[in-house]
Amino acid sequence: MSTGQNEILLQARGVTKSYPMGASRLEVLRGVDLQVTPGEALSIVGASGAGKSTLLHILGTLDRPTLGKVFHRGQDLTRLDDDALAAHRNRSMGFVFQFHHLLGEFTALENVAMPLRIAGLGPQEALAQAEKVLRQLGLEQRLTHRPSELSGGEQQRVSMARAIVRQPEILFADEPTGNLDTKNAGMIQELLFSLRETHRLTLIVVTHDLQFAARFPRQVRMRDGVIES
Amino acid sequence: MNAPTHKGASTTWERQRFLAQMALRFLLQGGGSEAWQSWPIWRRLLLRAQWRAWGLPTVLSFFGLVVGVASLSVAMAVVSGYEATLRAAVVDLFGHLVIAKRDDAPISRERFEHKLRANFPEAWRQEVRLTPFLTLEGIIVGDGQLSGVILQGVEPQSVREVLRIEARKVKGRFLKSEDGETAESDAVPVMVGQALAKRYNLELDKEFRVVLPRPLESDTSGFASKVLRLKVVGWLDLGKAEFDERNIMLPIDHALRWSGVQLPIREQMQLGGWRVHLGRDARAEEAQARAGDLAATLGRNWSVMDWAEGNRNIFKAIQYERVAIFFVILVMVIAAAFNVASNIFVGVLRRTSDIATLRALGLSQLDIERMFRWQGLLFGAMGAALGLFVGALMGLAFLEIQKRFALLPADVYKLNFIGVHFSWLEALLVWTSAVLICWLASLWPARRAARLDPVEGLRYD
Repeated sequence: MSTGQNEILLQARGVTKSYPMGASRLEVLRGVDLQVTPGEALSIVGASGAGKSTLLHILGTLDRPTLGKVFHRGQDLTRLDDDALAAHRNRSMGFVFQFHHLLGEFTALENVAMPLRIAGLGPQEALAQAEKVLRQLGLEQRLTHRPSELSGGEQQRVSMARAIVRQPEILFADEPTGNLDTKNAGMIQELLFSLRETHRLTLIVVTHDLQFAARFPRQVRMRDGVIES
Repeated sequence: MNAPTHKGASTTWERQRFLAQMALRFLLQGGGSEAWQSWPIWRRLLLRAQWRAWGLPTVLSFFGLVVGVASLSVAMAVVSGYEATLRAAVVDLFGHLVIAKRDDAPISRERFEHKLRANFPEAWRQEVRLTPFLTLEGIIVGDGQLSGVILQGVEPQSVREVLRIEARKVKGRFLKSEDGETAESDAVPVMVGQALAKRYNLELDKEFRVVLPRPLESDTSGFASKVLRLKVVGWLDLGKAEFDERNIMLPIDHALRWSGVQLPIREQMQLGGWRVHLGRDARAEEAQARAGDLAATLGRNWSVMDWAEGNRNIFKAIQYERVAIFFVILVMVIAAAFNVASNIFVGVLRRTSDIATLRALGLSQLDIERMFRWQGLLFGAMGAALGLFVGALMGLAFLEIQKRFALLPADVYKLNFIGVHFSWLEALLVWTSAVLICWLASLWPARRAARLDPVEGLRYD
């Protein structure tokens, strides 16, 4: 895969993140540089507190760096206002978290339709598209179930359906199997790789699971807020 | 990529609709996860599951708002009802306009009617109705007491079209044309105000006497008296206590005879004047302006009064009271709105994770702020709507209690019964005020929700 400037999808340049802690500052990320090309799948591993999730949040525009820049196809995301960033997340990014973070008041179908509704689609059209994706993921029997009526694996599959329903370029997953048993974790891992193939996604996954991380063509190892390798 | 773009021509409306729907779902479903959340809302409300979902603080703040709005709406309705009842009492007894003659020169009734109608707009002329009247003052004596009374001479046929007296009959019968032809030796049929009737024990068919003082022609400082024999044929509920305690209604022919006029009223009239109904109650507001015009046209020998003339201070006071009561009770709604604000704030804290998720899915800070503003708006709209309904029930209960118990001392309130008058305009004013206050109350918690750090919300389940 070429790493030329035009081929870079996402780029972190000198990203630093620090928080005030009394008189001093706690540095979570220290000048991180990272380039991700379209369609790439990479895992980010490291000990707790290494800054993996913080990096993922900054790449996913959920957080802003204290210093440094993040570019998406050459566009400096750190210069965008909140509205533009929200639109960017909705259009180009999908998220899967350790906890499913589905909204308890809504059915699986409604949860998956949510990014489409946010994008401006009417309820009928959004629900129809959401149903299609849920069927693809084998959840056609669970359309009208609420999160509390689903198993852990099903909840995570619904959250994956929600992450891809807008056909994003990049799928961010933060410990997607961290809250699942071995069987369900394996199933979710397979699903992630399968979705990457079918939807031609760029996949960025933060995980503690070294075996899972090893399945990615590219691994990024972090330690004390910097990329080791 | 064929998914829809984030910002399009129709997205603003769709986005608002989505935010409102989210706010409503968050509001109605409270965040619990029990299976009954899939039940229809009416079933949940009936079976109290909804109350459990909302939690006690939300239910209490909701009812606080309902009680505030109900109090406000019923207070407004009672003030309006008081005004309407008072106005009806005055208009029913006096008409919209009273045109009184100042001299005793004869005038052709037909010519006068024609002249009078010519002063009204063409569209009104056929609808304007007139009846002659003559008022005498006398003294009733009986049961060891005496009091002043007003003898209202009316024309039985035409008075029904001008004054709404017939509907105020509570007992007996209304006056008839033949009552005017009663022989001088017989008691004259009259209708009496029910308070007067009760005070002097004037049951139907009972005869009683009224003394009519008349000035002496030879000595203007002295007076002679004429004793009238009257017979009760009906009781009237004249609405206002002072009307009810003093009025006696009798055929105008007798009143004319006792006042010394010999000419028959059907041809000419010399004393008294005319009561005028403008055809529609809605025209009552214009009566004041018409009174001025008529007075200018008819000349010095006539005085023209509108229905509010003798009660203008009361009606003005009611207007001030209405505004004062509105703002005083609005304070209750404002107090309730503080509860709404704290309730939304608690909801925001409880939904940190949901807010973060929605941010990750593409809602901006402003969207989150709007969503919780919608929640305040919807909370206010539902609470205010229920409050208006409860207010209407309270109004009906107030009417019922008045019917069963003597709630209002007539000597204090001037009326022995106060109607409850709900107006759409007032209801809209109350509803809009409550919704606006709740919306304002939601601004601060909504701002807090927008400023929540999504990363914090996503860290834990």
